[in-house]
Amino acid sequence: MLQINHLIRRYYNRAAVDDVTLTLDSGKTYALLGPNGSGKTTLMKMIAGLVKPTSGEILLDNEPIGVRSKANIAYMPTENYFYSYMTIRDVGRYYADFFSDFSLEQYNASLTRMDLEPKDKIRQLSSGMAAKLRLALTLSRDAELMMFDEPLNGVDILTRQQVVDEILRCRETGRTMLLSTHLVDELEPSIDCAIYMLHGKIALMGDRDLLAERGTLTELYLKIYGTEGIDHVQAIKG
Amino acid sequence: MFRLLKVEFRKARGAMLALCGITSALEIYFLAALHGEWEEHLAIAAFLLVISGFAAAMFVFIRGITSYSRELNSTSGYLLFMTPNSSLKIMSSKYLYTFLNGVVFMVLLGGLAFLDFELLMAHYVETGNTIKGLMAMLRMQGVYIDQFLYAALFIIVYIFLMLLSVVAIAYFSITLSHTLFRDRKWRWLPSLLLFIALYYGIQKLNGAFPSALGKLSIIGNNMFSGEMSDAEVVAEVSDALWQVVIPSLLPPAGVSLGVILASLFGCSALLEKKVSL
Repeated sequence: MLQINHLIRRYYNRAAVDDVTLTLDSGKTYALLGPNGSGKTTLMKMIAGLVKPTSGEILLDNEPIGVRSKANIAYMPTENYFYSYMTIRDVGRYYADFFSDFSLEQYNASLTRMDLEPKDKIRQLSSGMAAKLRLALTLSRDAELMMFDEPLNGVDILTRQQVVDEILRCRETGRTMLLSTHLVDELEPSIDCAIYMLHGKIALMGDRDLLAERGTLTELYLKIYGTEGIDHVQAIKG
Repeated sequence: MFRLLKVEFRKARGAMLALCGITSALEIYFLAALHGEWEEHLAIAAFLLVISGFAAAMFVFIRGITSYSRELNSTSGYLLFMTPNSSLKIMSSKYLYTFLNGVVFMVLLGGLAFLDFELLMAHYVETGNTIKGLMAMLRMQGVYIDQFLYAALFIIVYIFLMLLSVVAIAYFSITLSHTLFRDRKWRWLPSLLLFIALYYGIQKLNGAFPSALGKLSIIGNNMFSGEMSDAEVVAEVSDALWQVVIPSLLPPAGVSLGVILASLFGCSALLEKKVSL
């Protein structure tokens, strides 16, 4: 479904994504894990077409990332990305205008579930409300590939549970999902496959069932990015 | 394209409403001064209306530039560039928006100017009759006011094209600077320097075309020699406009159009292949 071949993204002397090759299969939920600066967001943005690779290729259904792929990829950035003049209703209408797979009914239903008022202005939203809005927008699309960058970032515990429930609901539809998160334990039940990134490279990747032999995703996370670091990665791979 | 245009107009709605508000307030001032026959205030109001018209035109173009720069430099750009639209379509919508916005303002302000002129002529009957008499005399000499209006329209379109080409140079400078210096806080500086360099280069190119000044000075000498009647002078001005001035403006107009198209395709190519948000 999504094929990434020898993908590199350099910023001057630093490689944010360093020779990444991976395949995402249809219908699975992938966790993209790693500390700040490991390349997760850059990788997602390249798949979404917002960042151009230095070299390498990304193919969605054997076609390079471009106009057509943007119609089939739903990306939820971690930042707020709305125009300041907009209301919550305006954002929904914007998405409905540009994405044929966007459902206004589903969007309005999500807003109700998340206690968001359509008439509220974007600039008046708290970080938690903005996070819920970003999620409502992305989940209201019926895209082939759904990407969520830090969906639990900046939200309180109650909201976090709402977000997890929404993602689990989305998972049941059988879409391919790529989730980037620091809060591994909260989303672990919904993960099929984990991708650990370190310094722009894939340190470890595998199905959750196979990796479970070495520990939970959270335990692996601590081992890979803790003091044992890359040596432990080698041990796991070995 | 229509949806992209809708987004551009919606983004600028607040600023455009503010401009309309200022113009409306000045128009009310003008009408009040006309009704109250306060000649000093009438002159001030007319002067401010003219100034605000030019300022509004400048604002429309400058706002197009700043809006684009802000989009490339902030996360609000994601909203546009995540949509399944090609960079060419996105950039075309921006150029088209700036053009249409300029046309709308030009028509509105031009219409307002015409109405105010008619009101002044109706109010100052003697002056109005004098002007009408002069126009009748010119028609008898074979000079029609339409010729001046069409010439004025051409010159306005030419100025419009020049302003659009300045916006096009700015768009390209911003896009290229963002491509090369995306993460640098000082990327505005190479953008500005590139803009100045490109603008200077294009003015140099326009300077290479034959100038109308030589021919106009000969015509001017004839006109002010005292041997021609007023009607003959006006006829000479009309001929000079159509046979000297306007043909001399055609090459620079062509250059402006070329600059706009080159910038459109250049920016689109950079956005498609190189620019990262």
